[in-house]
Amino acid sequence: MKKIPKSRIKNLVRELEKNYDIIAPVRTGERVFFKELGPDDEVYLKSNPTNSPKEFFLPYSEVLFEFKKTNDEFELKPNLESRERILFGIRPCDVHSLLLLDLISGGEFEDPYYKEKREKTTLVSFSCLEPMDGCFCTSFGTGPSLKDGADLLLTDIGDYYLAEPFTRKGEKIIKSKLFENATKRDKKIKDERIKKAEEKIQKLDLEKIPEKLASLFDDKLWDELSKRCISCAICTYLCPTCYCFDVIDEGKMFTVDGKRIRCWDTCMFPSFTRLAGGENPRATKKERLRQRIYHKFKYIPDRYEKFGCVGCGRCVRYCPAGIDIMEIISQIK
Amino acid sequence: MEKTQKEIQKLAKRLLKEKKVDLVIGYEKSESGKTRPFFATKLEDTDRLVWDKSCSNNLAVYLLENKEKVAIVAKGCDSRSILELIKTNQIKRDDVFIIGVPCNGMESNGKLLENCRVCRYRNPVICDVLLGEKVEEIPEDNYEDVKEIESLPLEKRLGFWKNEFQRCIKCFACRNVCPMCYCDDCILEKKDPQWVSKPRKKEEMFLFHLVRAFHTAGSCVDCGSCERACPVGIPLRLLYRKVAKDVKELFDYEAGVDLKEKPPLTKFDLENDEKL
Repeated sequence: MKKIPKSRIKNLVRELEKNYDIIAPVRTGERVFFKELGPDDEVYLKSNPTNSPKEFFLPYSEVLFEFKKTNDEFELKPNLESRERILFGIRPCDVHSLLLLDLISGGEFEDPYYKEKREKTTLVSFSCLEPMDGCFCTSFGTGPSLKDGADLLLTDIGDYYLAEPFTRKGEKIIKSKLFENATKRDKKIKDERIKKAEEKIQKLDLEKIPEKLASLFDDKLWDELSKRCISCAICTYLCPTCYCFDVIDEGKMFTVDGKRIRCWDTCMFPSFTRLAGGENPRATKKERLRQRIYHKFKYIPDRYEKFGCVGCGRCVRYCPAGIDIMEIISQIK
Repeated sequence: MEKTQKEIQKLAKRLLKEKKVDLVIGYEKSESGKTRPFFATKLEDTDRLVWDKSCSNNLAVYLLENKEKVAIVAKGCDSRSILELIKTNQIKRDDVFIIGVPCNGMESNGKLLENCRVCRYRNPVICDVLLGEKVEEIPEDNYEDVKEIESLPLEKRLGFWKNEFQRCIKCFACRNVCPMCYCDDCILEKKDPQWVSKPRKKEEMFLFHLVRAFHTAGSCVDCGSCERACPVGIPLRLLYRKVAKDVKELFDYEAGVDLKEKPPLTKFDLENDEKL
């Protein structure tokens, strides 16, 4: 076990930058976003970024391959390669979202684009000692700290960050001379601080939620809850686990020469389910809001025995109409 | 404000009881204390209606899907949007009962909202009933924020907006929260012909945002809903206020003020107008 003085975090980032691309929370005006670290950017660890880290694994628009037809031959050029990088400052809730996306993009129909980016990314996580309004991660059996899932976990213990590696990649990072040996007392301080943080987080009772939802499909609850929804994509686009997409081909006129692009899409848009003939199986806000809740709290649990939500609170904090997923869950209860 | 809240509740109850309306659109508190739009349809719902300094949502947007036998709580800005919706034939005056409420400016975390700082229509411009005392209006909006960016050279302005727009995630919250974005088929999502492509392209983000700025020209009332909704903090009001300032200078028109005055883009006379 090692530790690093807080004042050396900057040096650590600069050191890592030599071998990796760094993605980290950066302050822009009054807001904080995960972004690729530029030369003038400083890592900001005091609040969880507005955007979730998913955009670095499932980009908003991702060219899957380029295609070309010459004579009678098709040529496909996949766009798979990714660079070695470090996601620095990811909080435990977002680490859990990646573990869930691993399940979803793996299995029988593996997503090679996701896998490539995931394998090339080292996760340097920070325990979350300052949970924000709307956070409810402990409801999912997780919490402000990690036992695994990241490569390295750093926890604020005062003047230092305690450093606990969970993988070889993590061990490699703490070999740097910037780290010092930690003591048992440091570990104790960490445990106490995590416990304190846990107490600050709202905990929901999720027992039997999937079973309850099974009988609520036609309930009038969904009419009531969805009235204020404005059908925008904030909840789903900021969500670290929402992964739905649309695939489009863009080409040049009169030739077979173009790109296939995967773009974010959302069950909140009417166009997501609108069929070519004009029919829409999820025609109103009621069906769409219900889908969001069912996907996270029934369909994903049915399939993966895990909830499709990690309690990061982004949808709660940013919904312009004040829709609160925690309140919806307690109403289902 | 407490007294006004009681009056709103009482009036809502009466309107529902006498079947004058089927729905009252107002505000309530969520379990966690966040103020949000509320839709009262039953008599007992009316007790949940609140009125305080956090009622910032522009409720007029909900009239687009609740057009008949509806009552709505309207601050100055909401009332101006309603006026524009009537003017553009999106709703009928007689189908909406407007509960006007004067407003001294809404707040967030104890701070007056940016649009409220320059609002000159704190009293509703159109209503069926006015609840609460009329408040004093503040003098002329001198568009200082707009003048500041106008004074920058083209390259700098371009750089500023490029930097702001590149954060856009195309969540459509700015459009969907806007009462004046009522098109059934929005140009920003149209596939045939396609003006803006589905993938997020840096060069198209200007088009995306400028289309909205032009389309709300002459009807944006600076309620600030879009800017507050934007999850990535794009200063949308600055963009729309620039357009509003131009509309004022070119057409001598201000959105949401006079029901009889024709929208600027339907009445201009290119041949006889000196400024044009």
